[in-house]
Amino acid sequence: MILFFVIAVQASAHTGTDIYSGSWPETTAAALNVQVAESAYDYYTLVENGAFAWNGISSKLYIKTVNYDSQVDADSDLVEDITVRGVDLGATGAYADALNYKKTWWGGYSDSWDSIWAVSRVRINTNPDNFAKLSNIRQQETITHEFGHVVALKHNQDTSEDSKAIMRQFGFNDKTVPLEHDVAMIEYKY
Amino acid sequence: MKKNITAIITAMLLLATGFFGYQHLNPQVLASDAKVKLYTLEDLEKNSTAIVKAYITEELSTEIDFDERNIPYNYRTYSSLNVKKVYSSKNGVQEGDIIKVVEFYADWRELRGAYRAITGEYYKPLESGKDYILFLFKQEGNDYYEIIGLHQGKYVINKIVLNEDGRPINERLTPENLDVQKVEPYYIEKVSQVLKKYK
Repeated sequence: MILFFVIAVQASAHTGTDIYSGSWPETTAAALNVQVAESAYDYYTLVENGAFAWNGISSKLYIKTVNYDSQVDADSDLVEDITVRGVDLGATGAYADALNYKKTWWGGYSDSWDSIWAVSRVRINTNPDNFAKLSNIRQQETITHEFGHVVALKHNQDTSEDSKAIMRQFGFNDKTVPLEHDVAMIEYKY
Repeated sequence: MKKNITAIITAMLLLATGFFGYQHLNPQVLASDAKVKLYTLEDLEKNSTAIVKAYITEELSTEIDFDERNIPYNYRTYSSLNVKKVYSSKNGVQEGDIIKVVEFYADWRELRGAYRAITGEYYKPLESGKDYILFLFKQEGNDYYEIIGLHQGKYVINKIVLNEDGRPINERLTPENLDVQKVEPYYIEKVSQVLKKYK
Protein backbone atom coordinates (compact mmCIF):
# COMPACT_ATOMS: atom_id res chain seq x y z
CA MET A 1 0.00 0.00 0.00
CA ILE A 2 2.81 2.42 0.97
CA LEU A 3 4.75 1.41 -2.13
CA PHE A 4 1.69 2.10 -4.28
CA PHE A 5 1.32 5.53 -2.66
CA VAL A 6 5.00 6.41 -3.28
CA ILE A 7 4.74 5.35 -6.91
CA ALA A 8 1.54 7.35 -7.35
CA VAL A 9 3.09 10.50 -5.83
CA GLN A 10 6.23 10.15 -7.97
CA ALA A 11 4.14 9.72 -11.11
CA SER A 12 2.03 12.77 -10.34
CA ALA A 13 5.09 14.91 -9.58
CA HIS A 14 5.88 15.06 -13.29
CA THR A 15 2.85 15.13 -15.48
CA GLY A 16 4.76 15.33 -18.71
CA THR A 17 3.80 18.93 -19.39
CA ASP A 18 7.33 19.76 -20.43
CA ILE A 19 7.63 17.17 -23.17
CA TYR A 20 6.40 17.16 -26.72
CA SER A 21 3.85 14.58 -27.70
CA GLY A 22 5.84 13.88 -30.88
CA SER A 23 8.44 11.12 -30.99
CA TRP A 24 11.24 9.63 -32.98
CA PRO A 25 10.39 6.18 -34.31
CA GLU A 26 11.53 3.67 -31.69
CA THR A 27 14.40 2.28 -33.77
CA THR A 28 15.60 5.78 -34.72
CA ALA A 29 15.51 6.99 -31.09
CA ALA A 30 17.75 4.09 -30.14
CA ALA A 31 20.40 5.16 -32.67
CA LEU A 32 20.20 8.86 -33.58
CA ASN A 33 22.89 10.30 -35.82
CA VAL A 34 24.08 13.88 -35.83
CA GLN A 35 25.78 15.67 -38.67
CA VAL A 36 27.70 18.90 -38.10
CA ALA A 37 27.88 21.24 -41.08
CA GLU A 38 30.99 23.18 -41.97
CA SER A 39 29.24 26.37 -40.83
CA ALA A 40 29.11 24.93 -37.28
CA TYR A 41 32.50 23.24 -37.35
CA ASP A 42 33.97 25.65 -34.77
CA TYR A 43 31.44 24.22 -32.31
CA TYR A 44 31.95 20.54 -33.15
CA THR A 45 33.15 19.56 -29.67
CA LEU A 46 30.28 21.43 -28.01
CA VAL A 47 27.83 19.60 -30.28
CA GLU A 48 29.42 16.25 -29.52
CA ASN A 49 29.26 16.85 -25.76
CA GLY A 50 25.75 18.34 -25.92
CA ALA A 51 24.37 15.44 -27.93
CA PHE A 52 26.01 12.65 -25.96
CA ALA A 53 24.93 14.28 -22.68
CA TRP A 54 21.45 12.82 -23.25
CA ASN A 55 22.72 9.23 -23.41
CA GLY A 56 22.44 6.93 -20.42
CA ILE A 57 19.13 8.26 -19.07
CA SER A 58 16.90 5.82 -20.90
CA SER A 59 17.79 2.63 -22.74
CA LYS A 60 15.36 3.72 -25.47
CA LEU A 61 17.23 6.94 -26.24
CA TYR A 62 20.74 6.89 -27.64
CA ILE A 63 22.63 9.39 -29.74
CA LYS A 64 24.95 7.10 -31.61
CA THR A 65 27.19 9.29 -33.75
CA VAL A 66 28.22 12.88 -34.28
CA ASN A 67 29.97 13.42 -37.59
CA TYR A 68 31.43 16.39 -39.37
CA ASP A 69 30.54 16.77 -43.02
CA SER A 70 32.15 19.60 -45.00
CA GLN A 71 29.66 19.01 -47.82
CA VAL A 72 26.52 19.53 -45.79
CA ASP A 73 26.27 23.25 -46.56
CA ALA A 74 26.21 22.48 -50.25
CA ASP A 75 23.84 20.05 -51.96
CA SER A 76 24.46 16.74 -50.31
CA ASP A 77 22.75 13.44 -49.90
CA LEU A 78 24.72 12.81 -46.74
CA VAL A 79 21.97 13.81 -44.37
CA GLU A 80 21.61 12.32 -40.93
CA ASP A 81 18.62 12.45 -38.60
CA ILE A 82 19.86 15.63 -36.97
CA THR A 83 21.80 18.36 -38.74
CA VAL A 84 23.57 21.21 -36.95
CA ARG A 85 24.33 24.41 -38.83
CA GLY A 86 25.81 27.78 -38.04
CA VAL A 87 23.62 30.72 -39.08
CA ASP A 88 23.69 34.46 -38.31
CA LEU A 89 20.59 34.96 -36.16
CA GLY A 90 21.45 38.53 -35.19
CA ALA A 91 23.45 40.22 -32.46
CA THR A 92 20.51 40.18 -30.03
CA GLY A 93 18.58 37.21 -31.45
CA ALA A 94 18.51 33.59 -30.38
CA TYR A 95 21.72 31.96 -29.15
CA ALA A 96 20.56 28.80 -30.88
CA ASP A 97 17.35 27.04 -31.83
CA ALA A 98 15.95 23.66 -32.84
CA LEU A 99 13.00 22.30 -34.75
CA ASN A 100 11.89 18.74 -35.47
CA TYR A 101 10.11 17.87 -38.70
CA LYS A 102 7.81 15.14 -39.90
CA LYS A 103 7.59 13.85 -43.43
CA THR A 104 4.23 14.71 -44.95
CA TRP A 105 2.23 12.31 -47.09
CA TRP A 106 1.86 14.92 -49.82
CA GLY A 107 5.59 15.48 -50.06
CA GLY A 108 8.23 17.43 -48.20
CA TYR A 109 8.67 18.06 -44.51
CA SER A 110 6.68 20.12 -42.07
CA ASP A 111 7.14 21.51 -38.60
CA SER A 112 5.96 19.00 -36.10
CA TRP A 113 6.50 18.84 -32.38
CA ASP A 114 3.52 16.50 -32.16
CA SER A 115 4.03 13.75 -34.74
CA ILE A 116 6.51 11.10 -35.73
CA TRP A 117 9.76 12.90 -36.48
CA ALA A 118 11.88 12.29 -39.54
CA VAL A 119 14.61 14.90 -39.16
CA SER A 120 15.72 17.63 -36.79
CA ARG A 121 17.51 20.89 -37.46
CA VAL A 122 19.64 22.71 -34.92
CA ARG A 123 21.09 26.16 -35.60
CA ILE A 124 23.83 27.94 -33.68
CA ASN A 125 24.02 31.72 -33.95
CA THR A 126 27.30 32.68 -35.64
CA ASN A 127 26.86 36.42 -35.17
CA PRO A 128 30.13 37.53 -33.49
CA ASP A 129 28.21 39.48 -30.80
CA ASN A 130 25.91 36.68 -29.72
CA PHE A 131 26.68 33.01 -28.91
CA ALA A 132 30.40 33.61 -29.36
CA LYS A 133 30.33 36.08 -26.47
CA LEU A 134 29.01 33.50 -23.99
CA SER A 135 31.42 31.76 -21.65
CA ASN A 136 32.43 28.25 -22.69
CA ILE A 137 30.25 26.67 -20.01
CA ARG A 138 27.19 28.67 -21.18
CA GLN A 139 27.87 27.77 -24.80
CA GLN A 140 27.89 24.12 -23.74
CA GLU A 141 24.72 24.59 -21.69
CA THR A 142 23.01 26.12 -24.72
CA ILE A 143 23.98 23.28 -27.06
CA THR A 144 22.95 20.60 -24.54
CA HIS A 145 19.66 22.53 -24.17
CA GLU A 146 19.06 22.41 -27.94
CA PHE A 147 19.60 18.66 -27.97
CA GLY A 148 17.01 18.50 -25.21
CA HIS A 149 14.50 19.83 -27.75
CA VAL A 150 15.74 17.33 -30.31
CA VAL A 151 15.00 14.45 -27.94
CA ALA A 152 11.49 15.81 -27.11
CA LEU A 153 11.81 18.27 -24.25
CA LYS A 154 10.02 21.60 -24.13
CA HIS A 155 11.17 24.62 -22.16
CA ASN A 156 10.08 23.94 -18.61
CA GLN A 157 6.86 25.87 -17.98
CA ASP A 158 7.30 26.25 -14.23
CA THR A 159 10.11 28.77 -13.83
CA SER A 160 10.50 27.81 -10.14
CA GLU A 161 12.11 24.64 -11.52
CA ASP A 162 14.64 26.59 -13.60
CA SER A 163 17.53 25.65 -11.30
CA LYS A 164 16.76 21.96 -11.92
CA ALA A 165 16.42 22.23 -15.69
CA ILE A 166 18.85 22.72 -18.51
CA MET A 167 15.66 23.31 -20.52
CA ARG A 168 14.99 26.63 -18.80
CA GLN A 169 13.90 29.16 -21.38
CA PHE A 170 15.90 32.10 -20.09
CA GLY A 171 19.11 32.37 -18.15
CA PHE A 172 21.70 29.77 -17.24
CA ASN A 173 22.51 27.32 -14.46
CA ASP A 174 26.15 27.06 -15.55
CA LYS A 175 25.71 23.29 -15.86
CA THR A 176 26.41 21.37 -19.03
CA VAL A 177 24.43 18.16 -18.59
CA PRO A 178 20.72 17.34 -18.11
CA LEU A 179 19.55 18.22 -14.60
CA GLU A 180 17.03 16.65 -12.24
CA HIS A 181 13.90 17.94 -13.98
CA ASP A 182 15.25 17.10 -17.46
CA VAL A 183 16.11 13.56 -16.38
CA ALA A 184 12.62 13.10 -14.92
CA MET A 185 11.07 14.30 -18.19
CA ILE A 186 13.20 11.95 -20.29
CA GLU A 187 12.35 9.03 -18.00
CA TYR A 188 8.66 9.93 -18.27
CA LYS A 189 8.84 10.22 -22.06
CA TYR A 190 10.89 7.13 -22.82
CA MET B 1 -19.38 3.20 -66.37
CA LYS B 2 -18.07 6.30 -68.12
CA LYS B 3 -20.30 8.42 -65.89
CA ASN B 4 -18.87 6.77 -62.78
CA ILE B 5 -15.29 7.38 -63.83
CA THR B 6 -16.06 11.05 -64.57
CA ALA B 7 -17.73 11.40 -61.17
CA ILE B 8 -14.74 9.81 -59.40
CA ILE B 9 -12.24 12.02 -61.23
CA THR B 10 -14.33 15.12 -60.51
CA ALA B 11 -14.58 14.19 -56.83
CA MET B 12 -10.81 13.61 -56.64
CA LEU B 13 -10.09 16.92 -58.34
CA LEU B 14 -12.44 18.72 -55.97
CA LEU B 15 -10.81 17.06 -52.97
CA ALA B 16 -7.32 17.94 -54.19
CA THR B 17 -8.37 21.52 -54.94
CA GLY B 18 -9.98 21.80 -51.51
CA PHE B 19 -6.95 20.35 -49.71
CA PHE B 20 -4.28 22.37 -51.50
CA GLY B 21 -6.50 25.47 -51.49
CA TYR B 22 -6.70 25.15 -47.71
CA GLN B 23 -2.92 24.67 -47.50
CA HIS B 24 -2.44 27.91 -49.45
CA LEU B 25 -4.97 29.92 -47.47
CA ASN B 26 -3.64 28.74 -44.08
CA PRO B 27 0.15 29.01 -44.04
CA GLN B 28 1.93 26.35 -42.05
CA VAL B 29 3.99 28.02 -39.34
CA LEU B 30 7.41 26.45 -38.75
CA ALA B 31 8.44 27.98 -35.43
CA SER B 32 11.66 26.85 -33.80
CA ASP B 33 12.27 26.61 -30.06
CA ALA B 34 14.93 29.17 -29.35
CA LYS B 35 17.13 29.97 -26.37
CA VAL B 36 17.35 33.73 -26.05
CA LYS B 37 18.83 36.14 -23.56
CA LEU B 38 16.23 37.50 -21.15
CA TYR B 39 16.22 41.29 -21.40
CA THR B 40 14.88 43.43 -18.57
CA LEU B 41 13.52 46.85 -19.51
CA GLU B 42 16.81 48.30 -18.29
CA ASP B 43 18.74 45.90 -20.57
CA LEU B 44 16.53 46.83 -23.52
CA GLU B 45 17.13 50.53 -22.92
CA LYS B 46 20.87 50.06 -22.43
CA ASN B 47 21.28 48.00 -25.59
CA SER B 48 19.03 50.06 -27.85
CA THR B 49 20.50 52.18 -30.60
CA ALA B 50 17.04 53.72 -30.85
CA ILE B 51 13.73 53.40 -29.03
CA VAL B 52 10.89 54.44 -31.32
CA LYS B 53 7.19 54.28 -32.02
CA ALA B 54 6.86 53.12 -35.62
CA TYR B 55 4.70 51.36 -38.14
CA ILE B 56 5.56 49.19 -41.09
CA THR B 57 5.32 50.80 -44.52
CA GLU B 58 6.67 48.15 -46.86
CA GLU B 59 8.13 44.67 -46.90
CA LEU B 60 11.37 45.12 -48.80
CA SER B 61 12.83 41.66 -49.31
CA THR B 62 13.06 38.13 -47.99
CA GLU B 63 16.16 35.95 -47.95
CA ILE B 64 15.75 32.22 -47.51
CA ASP B 65 18.06 29.24 -47.92
CA PHE B 66 16.78 25.69 -48.13
CA ASP B 67 18.75 22.55 -47.45
CA GLU B 68 18.85 19.41 -49.56
CA ARG B 69 15.50 18.27 -48.11
CA ASN B 70 13.87 21.61 -48.91
CA ILE B 71 13.83 22.61 -45.23
CA PRO B 72 14.61 26.30 -44.62
CA TYR B 73 17.70 26.82 -42.46
CA ASN B 74 18.45 30.49 -42.96
CA TYR B 75 15.75 33.09 -43.39
CA ARG B 76 15.11 36.75 -42.72
CA THR B 77 12.80 39.51 -43.93
CA TYR B 78 13.65 43.19 -44.29
CA SER B 79 10.97 45.86 -44.01
CA SER B 80 10.85 49.64 -43.98
CA LEU B 81 9.31 51.41 -41.00
CA ASN B 82 8.09 54.94 -40.57
CA VAL B 83 9.22 56.48 -37.29
CA LYS B 84 6.30 58.28 -35.60
CA LYS B 85 8.07 59.17 -32.38
CA VAL B 86 11.62 58.90 -31.02
CA TYR B 87 12.01 58.17 -27.31
CA SER B 88 15.77 57.89 -27.45
CA SER B 89 18.41 57.61 -30.12
CA LYS B 90 22.15 57.12 -30.09
CA ASN B 91 22.51 57.70 -33.82
CA GLY B 92 20.26 60.62 -34.66
CA VAL B 93 17.10 58.84 -35.81
CA GLN B 94 14.32 61.42 -36.10
CA GLU B 95 10.55 61.49 -36.31
CA GLY B 96 9.45 60.89 -39.90
CA ASP B 97 12.56 58.88 -40.82
CA ILE B 98 12.13 55.69 -42.79
CA ILE B 99 14.32 52.97 -41.31
CA LYS B 100 15.11 49.40 -42.36
CA VAL B 101 14.46 46.55 -39.93
CA VAL B 102 15.32 42.86 -40.15
CA GLU B 103 13.07 40.15 -38.69
CA PHE B 104 14.06 36.51 -38.47
CA TYR B 105 11.15 35.02 -40.36
CA ALA B 106 10.20 34.31 -43.97
CA ASP B 107 7.03 33.60 -45.92
CA TRP B 108 7.08 31.49 -49.04
CA ARG B 109 4.77 29.48 -51.21
CA GLU B 110 5.16 26.16 -52.96
CA LEU B 111 2.75 24.18 -55.10
CA ARG B 112 1.74 22.21 -52.00
CA GLY B 113 0.97 25.24 -49.83
CA ALA B 114 2.05 28.44 -48.09
CA TYR B 115 4.65 28.46 -45.32
CA ARG B 116 6.04 30.78 -42.68
CA ALA B 117 9.30 30.01 -40.84
CA ILE B 118 9.94 31.92 -37.60
CA THR B 119 12.85 31.89 -35.17
CA GLY B 120 11.41 31.34 -31.71
CA GLU B 121 8.07 30.24 -30.35
CA TYR B 122 6.92 33.70 -29.21
CA TYR B 123 7.79 36.08 -32.02
CA LYS B 124 5.11 37.25 -34.39
CA PRO B 125 6.20 39.41 -37.33
CA LEU B 126 5.29 43.09 -37.59
CA GLU B 127 2.01 43.74 -39.39
CA SER B 128 0.85 46.78 -41.30
CA GLY B 129 -1.84 48.91 -39.72
CA LYS B 130 -0.36 48.56 -36.22
CA ASP B 131 1.82 50.92 -34.20
CA TYR B 132 4.71 49.42 -32.23
CA ILE B 133 7.14 50.57 -29.60
CA LEU B 134 10.41 49.06 -30.71
CA PHE B 135 13.75 48.65 -28.99
CA LEU B 136 16.15 48.57 -31.91
CA PHE B 137 19.79 47.68 -32.18
CA LYS B 138 21.99 48.54 -35.14
CA GLN B 139 25.13 46.47 -35.41
CA GLU B 140 28.17 48.25 -36.80
CA GLY B 141 28.40 47.89 -40.56
CA ASN B 142 24.72 47.07 -41.08
CA ASP B 143 22.23 49.36 -42.84
CA TYR B 144 19.37 47.82 -40.85
CA TYR B 145 18.18 47.49 -37.27
CA GLU B 146 17.19 44.36 -35.45
CA ILE B 147 14.48 44.15 -32.81
CA ILE B 148 16.26 43.34 -29.55
CA GLY B 149 15.68 39.83 -28.18
CA LEU B 150 13.05 38.84 -30.79
CA HIS B 151 9.61 39.44 -29.18
CA GLN B 152 11.18 41.16 -26.15
CA GLY B 153 11.90 44.35 -28.08
CA LYS B 154 8.48 44.68 -29.75
CA TYR B 155 5.29 46.03 -28.15
CA VAL B 156 2.08 46.62 -30.06
CA ILE B 157 0.16 49.57 -28.69
CA ASN B 158 -3.15 49.56 -30.50
CA LYS B 159 -4.85 46.77 -28.64
CA ILE B 160 -3.56 46.87 -25.08
CA VAL B 161 -5.77 48.69 -22.60
CA LEU B 162 -4.26 49.93 -19.35
CA ASN B 163 -6.23 50.19 -16.11
CA GLU B 164 -6.02 53.07 -13.62
CA ASP B 165 -2.72 51.74 -12.19
CA GLY B 166 -1.17 51.79 -15.61
CA ARG B 167 -1.17 48.00 -15.86
CA PRO B 168 -2.65 46.14 -18.81
CA ILE B 169 -6.09 44.68 -18.20
CA ASN B 170 -5.48 40.95 -17.77
CA GLU B 171 -8.35 39.72 -19.94
CA ARG B 172 -6.86 41.66 -22.81
CA LEU B 173 -3.49 39.88 -22.57
CA THR B 174 -4.16 37.34 -25.29
CA PRO B 175 -1.55 36.37 -27.87
CA GLU B 176 -3.63 38.16 -30.50
CA ASN B 177 -3.77 41.42 -28.56
CA LEU B 178 -0.12 41.22 -27.53
CA ASP B 179 0.90 40.38 -31.09
CA VAL B 180 2.89 37.31 -30.06
CA GLN B 181 2.53 33.63 -30.94
CA LYS B 182 2.34 32.63 -27.27
CA VAL B 183 2.32 34.58 -24.04
CA GLU B 184 5.23 34.27 -21.61
CA PRO B 185 5.19 35.77 -18.10
CA TYR B 186 8.36 37.90 -18.36
CA TYR B 187 6.92 39.54 -21.46
CA ILE B 188 3.68 40.49 -19.72
CA GLU B 189 5.69 42.14 -16.98
CA LYS B 190 7.61 44.15 -19.57
CA VAL B 191 4.42 45.08 -21.46
CA SER B 192 3.25 46.72 -18.28
CA GLN B 193 6.53 48.57 -17.73
CA VAL B 194 6.98 49.61 -21.35
CA LEU B 195 3.46 50.91 -21.91
CA LYS B 196 3.58 52.84 -18.65
CA LYS B 197 6.87 54.53 -19.52
CA TYR B 198 6.62 54.97 -23.28
CA LYS B 199 3.41 56.73 -24.31
